[in-house]
Amino acid sequence: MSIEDNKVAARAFMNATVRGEVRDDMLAADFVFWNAITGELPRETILSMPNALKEGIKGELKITETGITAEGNKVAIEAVSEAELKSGERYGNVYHFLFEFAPDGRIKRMAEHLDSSRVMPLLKALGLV
Amino acid sequence: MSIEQNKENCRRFLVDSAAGKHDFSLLADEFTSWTALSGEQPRSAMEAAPARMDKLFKGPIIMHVDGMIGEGNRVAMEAHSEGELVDGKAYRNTYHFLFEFNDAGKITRMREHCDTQHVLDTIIPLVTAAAK
Repeated sequence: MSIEDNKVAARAFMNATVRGEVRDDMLAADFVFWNAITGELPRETILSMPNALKEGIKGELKITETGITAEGNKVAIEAVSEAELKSGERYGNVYHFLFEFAPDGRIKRMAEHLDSSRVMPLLKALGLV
Repeated sequence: MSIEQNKENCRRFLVDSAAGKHDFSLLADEFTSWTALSGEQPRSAMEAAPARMDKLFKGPIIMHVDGMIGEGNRVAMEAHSEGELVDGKAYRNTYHFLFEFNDAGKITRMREHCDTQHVLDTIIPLVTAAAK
């Protein structure tokens, strides 16, 4: 797959995660997700995450790309998000995602670097803490 | 400047700076840095950082580069650090930096995406205590 194909797939996956439209065929069989709070999580957790988000958020989490860098089988996307929690509180974060692709174009690793200090209100809204 | 040269300059700036060998000539005059905690900062803040870090850490911070990709005038770098704070606590952070370069090969912008909660848990209490 080309670098431009990988960019398209990375953007599609980023948007799909917040809309509850993640498809099983987007992810490699050995896919892993990582962020600094959760550590590594398996693909099953990511496939069910959008439903968890809906529990805590009014409407949808709006995510906006602010920059993209790609080379070889990797794509890095900078983005910002905003949402209204069911509590009425505003939630927003800032991200630098890294996506790594398998040769068949599926995503095999997604690292979510985000402002971890802002995540607590969302975790509370999701009932995770 | 080539993408590979830009990557090498990112590695030099970050790894060597952490080890105490600062080369600010890699930065453009209009350089700015950003973290989610500090917001946008001018070049002068970066130049003042080493003296601040010396008061917080027992020794040098070791930066490990885990991966780099470059496209156009941009380089994205995953990295992790290890160091020991003056209160004996371990400092271990994870990073996804974004660097931007000008045509002369100088770094114009550095965005440091890191585990901000770890900074709040480890470094900020030391800064607060020192200010009292």
